[in-house]
Amino acid sequence: MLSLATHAVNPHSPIVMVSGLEKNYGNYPALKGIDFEIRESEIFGLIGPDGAGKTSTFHILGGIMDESKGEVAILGKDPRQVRLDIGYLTQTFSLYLDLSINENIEYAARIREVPEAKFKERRERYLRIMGLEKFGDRLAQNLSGGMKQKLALCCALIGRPKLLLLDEPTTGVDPVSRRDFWDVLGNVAAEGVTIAVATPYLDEAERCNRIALIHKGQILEMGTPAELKRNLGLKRLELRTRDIESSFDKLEDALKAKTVGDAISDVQLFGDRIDVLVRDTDAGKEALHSLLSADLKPEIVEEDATLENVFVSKLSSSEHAAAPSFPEAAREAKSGQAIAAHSISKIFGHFQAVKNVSVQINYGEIYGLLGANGAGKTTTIKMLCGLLDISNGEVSLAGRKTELRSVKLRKEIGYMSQKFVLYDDLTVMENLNFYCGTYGLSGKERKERIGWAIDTFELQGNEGTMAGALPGGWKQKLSFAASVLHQPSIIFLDEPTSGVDPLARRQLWQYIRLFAKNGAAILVTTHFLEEAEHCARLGFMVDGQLVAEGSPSEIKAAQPGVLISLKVSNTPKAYEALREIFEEWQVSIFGANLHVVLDNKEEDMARCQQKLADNGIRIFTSRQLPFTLEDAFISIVQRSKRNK
Amino acid sequence: MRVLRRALAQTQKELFQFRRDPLTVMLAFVLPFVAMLMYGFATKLEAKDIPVAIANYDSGKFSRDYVDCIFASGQFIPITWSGKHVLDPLDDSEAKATIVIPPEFSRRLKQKQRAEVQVLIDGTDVNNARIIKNGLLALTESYLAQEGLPQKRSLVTPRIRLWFNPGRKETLHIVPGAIALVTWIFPALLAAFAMVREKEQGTILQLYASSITAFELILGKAIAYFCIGMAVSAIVILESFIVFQVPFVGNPLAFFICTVLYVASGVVFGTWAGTRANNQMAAVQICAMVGFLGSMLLSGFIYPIRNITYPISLISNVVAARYYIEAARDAFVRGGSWTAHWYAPVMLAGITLFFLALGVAGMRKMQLSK
Amino acid sequence: MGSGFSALLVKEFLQLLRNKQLLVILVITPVVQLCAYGFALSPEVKHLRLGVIDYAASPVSRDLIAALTRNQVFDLEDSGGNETELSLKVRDGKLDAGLVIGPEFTRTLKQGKRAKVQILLDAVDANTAGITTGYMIQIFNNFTSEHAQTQVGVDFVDLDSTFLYNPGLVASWFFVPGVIGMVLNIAGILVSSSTLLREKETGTLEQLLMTPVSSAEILIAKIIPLLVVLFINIGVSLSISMGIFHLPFRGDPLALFLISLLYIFVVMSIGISLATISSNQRQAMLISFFITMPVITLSGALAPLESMPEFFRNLSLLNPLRYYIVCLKGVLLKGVGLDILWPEVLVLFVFAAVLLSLSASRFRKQMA
Repeated sequence: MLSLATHAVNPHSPIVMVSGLEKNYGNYPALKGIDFEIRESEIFGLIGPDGAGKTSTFHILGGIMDESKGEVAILGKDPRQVRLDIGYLTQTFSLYLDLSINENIEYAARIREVPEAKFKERRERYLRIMGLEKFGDRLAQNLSGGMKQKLALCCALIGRPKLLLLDEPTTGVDPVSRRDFWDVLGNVAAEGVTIAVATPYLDEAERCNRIALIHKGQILEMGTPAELKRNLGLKRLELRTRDIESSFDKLEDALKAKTVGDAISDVQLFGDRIDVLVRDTDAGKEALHSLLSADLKPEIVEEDATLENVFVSKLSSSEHAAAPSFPEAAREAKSGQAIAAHSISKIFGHFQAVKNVSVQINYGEIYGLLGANGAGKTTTIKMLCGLLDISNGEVSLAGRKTELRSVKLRKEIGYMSQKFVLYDDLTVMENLNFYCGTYGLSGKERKERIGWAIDTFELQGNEGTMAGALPGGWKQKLSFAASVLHQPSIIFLDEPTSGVDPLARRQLWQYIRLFAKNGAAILVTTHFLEEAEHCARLGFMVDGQLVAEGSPSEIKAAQPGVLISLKVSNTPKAYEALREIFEEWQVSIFGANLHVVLDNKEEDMARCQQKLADNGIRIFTSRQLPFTLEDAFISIVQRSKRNK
Repeated sequence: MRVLRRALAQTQKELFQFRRDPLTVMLAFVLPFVAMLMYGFATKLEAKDIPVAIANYDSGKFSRDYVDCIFASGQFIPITWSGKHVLDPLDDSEAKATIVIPPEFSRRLKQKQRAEVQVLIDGTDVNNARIIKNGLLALTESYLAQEGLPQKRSLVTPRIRLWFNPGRKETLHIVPGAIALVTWIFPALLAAFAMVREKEQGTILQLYASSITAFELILGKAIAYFCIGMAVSAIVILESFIVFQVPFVGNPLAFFICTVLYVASGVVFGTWAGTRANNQMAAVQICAMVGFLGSMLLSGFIYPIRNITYPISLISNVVAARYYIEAARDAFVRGGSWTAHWYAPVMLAGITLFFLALGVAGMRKMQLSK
Repeated sequence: MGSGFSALLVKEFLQLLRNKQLLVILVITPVVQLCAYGFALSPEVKHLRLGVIDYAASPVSRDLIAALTRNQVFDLEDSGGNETELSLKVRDGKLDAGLVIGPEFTRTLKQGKRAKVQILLDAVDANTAGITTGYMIQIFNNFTSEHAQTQVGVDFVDLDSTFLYNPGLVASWFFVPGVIGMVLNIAGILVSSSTLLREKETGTLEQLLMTPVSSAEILIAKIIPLLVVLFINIGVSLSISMGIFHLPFRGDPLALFLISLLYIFVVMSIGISLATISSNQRQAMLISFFITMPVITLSGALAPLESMPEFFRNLSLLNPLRYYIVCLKGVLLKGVGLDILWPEVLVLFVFAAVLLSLSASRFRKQMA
């Protein structure tokens, strides 16, 4: 296994030194003078919205691009001189899809001049760590997204780099595979490889030793995740009431009107709760109680602020610009079931992609469909909206059971596919006009709706920009706008926020909720589990089956066992040791801490302590954490796999 | 040594990738084979079995004999003429020529008077128009001799000796050109594809991030497609021997050297095109434009280079196919000393080095250009 | 067909006009191809390098040499001085032809007898060699009439030949109609397959299918802009042909329009079918290579169909380009109309109808 603890790690010698780094593309400044250093053996996260300058920074660090100004030293030298000591993984897969796993690794090794003897040994070791050793002859194109990125990591590691640069390595990878990937990263870092990583996922940022928030080419803040959260100086109150919508409205109004002073600094609505950020817990609680009448029965739980809170409050100037409301056409409100599926199945050849799935979604409800890649989410959506024939079962859409492809029905449906909705070679305006045209919107109505989309998503001045030239986040927002312009009453959103930063995601969800509030039934899939909290109900799919369903709180509460965070004397060694007595998914490294899921609190904790003691590892602190949705997700998926 | 090792790593990877895509393998081996068949069999300039309509207004024996004589040689075949306008068979492209025999043809010949025959030739097929005219003139001469009718006697009779290709077989002319066209364009296309694909899929970033140099990268790719190009070349040359029955009469070593250099020039050109093009569409455009136009039109493949209009004819001096066609004609048709075209291998090597240098210069920095 | 259809149509036009690569294929390619074929391909036999060994060295023999070089058919080059050198030069390709005039040439002629001369010809290029032989015989005949001391007689059958349609035998007039057909063929297949495939590749097709437009509307909205740009393509080709190569336009423009419309439908259908069988543009392009090459070789665009082996000649009957080129030559050079070209037009119509309905049904099936 890994040769652990063999390095005499000096945590203070910097591997990367960046000072006053600037980069201009023509007149456009992508980086406006950033400074940071990365120390040996740490995982350093670069967190920021699209177009913040993350990729430019990585290109310069990797020696792929020259800087405009400033100094960059890696291992004390110019990046181009030490390219052999740098491993680089790009946003898209850095693999040759038509080569097998072994061929990819061999090629990477040979262009990086790895001696034959060492190559064999390393290949075997890394493939084993990645869990790919059985698939050596499989072509890269036949691997899942998570496996592809693990293979890419393997290729980057084969040259034994001292520094690993990972530019959004897990974008589009499902939560299970992402956690797996980060477990491997933790391992690699423990071997003494320094890692710099950019990611849009804040749960991943939690797993870094230090992170830097980067925005518009500047670093806003830098430190450990705990430091950043502490520096925010805010506490998070989870508020549950009988009527969340009206409670939220009241709180928002109060926030805008500043009726409660600065006791409350932010509120955010989720599927079954409201998060309230407060400076002082007691003052905050008092303010909440004064605002909400007793018959709403408010329940308040104190929690720590999350990185998302940090991110959003750092980046959004605290003003709450009222989003323009959607220019609705009058129509009768609908109620009852919008989408109903009764044990539907889909069989492709010999492969059953979806097995007896039943869901009911009412008008006004947001339903989240979660699952790993290949679990059957997209296939299910396509069957529900009539794009794919159903092999077995029955679907009723807006009350209709037949002719799901009729023109009349399609006018009622909004659909945002996983790939692109927009035509890259049409401008923003032309795209919007096109979709208005296909839905038969004209005259005043068209003008209003397009005006709404432009205002809402801050596209003023960009009407003539080619959609292909927009940053990823804007593309997704515009796609969303284009697919709801005709005011559909049933909306399917297949990964609407993929590749979108937290700020933009928050805004998108604001609108998704708005449509639900106006009576639309919404079915959404996502890989971001923190945003699944926005859904009223969730369904978890594993291998084509719906294995759990309920509100986010119900799902978390239904998890057996407890989640324990441990601070120990030697995290990597403890990680290895605990994985021997628990299942792999139950143990993972989060920054400096170890997270362990225990089925049976007392009994398993005793085993855990015993095992660590046997390995000469001391436990400094142990703390029980509430399950996040991600923990619940991993545990549901793994348990249902175990049961097979 | 290190340079070669890294280049060869690249080569090995390319070859692995190459055999994975059945469509590419088809493009590499089957298409050249078929293309060769097509060009070899279908590019015949001199028409045989030329359809000719006879408008015979004469009913005598002389005209019948004359018509028989014209069709006896086999160069022309008769088509039935409905008897309306003499232009009709030409207008609807049924015949390439109409021969109009006047009513008093037999009578005049019997009276030992001169008879005139009118021939209308379709001039749209420029090359064959002349051949038809010459052919009919010769047949008329032989008719006169056969009938013992007076004929003009030429005082100068040429004794023509045709060198190299006494049977005037067109295959011998076309096959070397077809070999040149096919062995250049397909490997070049594949090499260009391979280069562009790295850019399109973003894997080029991995190469930029490694320590491989532009020269090693281009050399590595070029070696891979050079191997494929040599295989293509072997296929079409064997095809020429077996299917087209072309003999080998030249100097094997000289021809081999030229083939190696020529294939290399195509592959290096393709690699260069790949570094310039941003997507596969553009790569195909560059290769097809330069390859087809250059190798087919400016190389002397079909018609002699000296027929090319002046400023454009200068371009043919830098067309690799031109030199290879010289070498191939030496090898398959002329035989004998290859020293007459000593400049062919020199020019081919020059063109290869030129595109290699151009490609390396373009990618020298191994960095993103923006 | 309501506002949905017009929105589709606007979108297709915008996308097509914005695609620079397609515009290159549509406009630049015809210019380059036409110029290349028009200027580079010429079967005319001119400026052949001739070496002469004149053992007779008399005014008569010099007259013979002058007759050969007079019309620029032959250019006099260094002969090397003796027969061996001369034949070596022909063999090495330094000379195209060699002429040896024997010492008794003048004497024989003076006696009114026939004099023999020896000619060496490089016959590697069989076609040129054939035409050269014809030229020489003609020149010798003319020479005879001028220098005949005695009456040499006249042919009793006098062949009066006329070249129709292209009396000057201008080479480009032969190639240009073929190239127009060829260019249209390549552009049509590539452009129509790529407009469909782009939609499929990027995933926007799925989105389109969820809007209330029908698949027929989608297809028709794609076809109309293609028709327009392909007509522009033909227009560009024709203007170059007429402007640079002075190609005559002797027939009825309306007939040409109708015939071209049919052929555009043929190539478009091939393009659409191609888009339905391939999963990306690269594949489509490679497959189009497989299609285009035989279609052009067996079309009569570059080499006459009559000279092909029977198998290939029969194969060419299945080639729509063959009929289109016959029509192009008919309308442009011969000035004939539909009354004469109707069999070809009928065949094209059948091709268009069959291919279009096949490809449209495949496309719609794939969209369902």
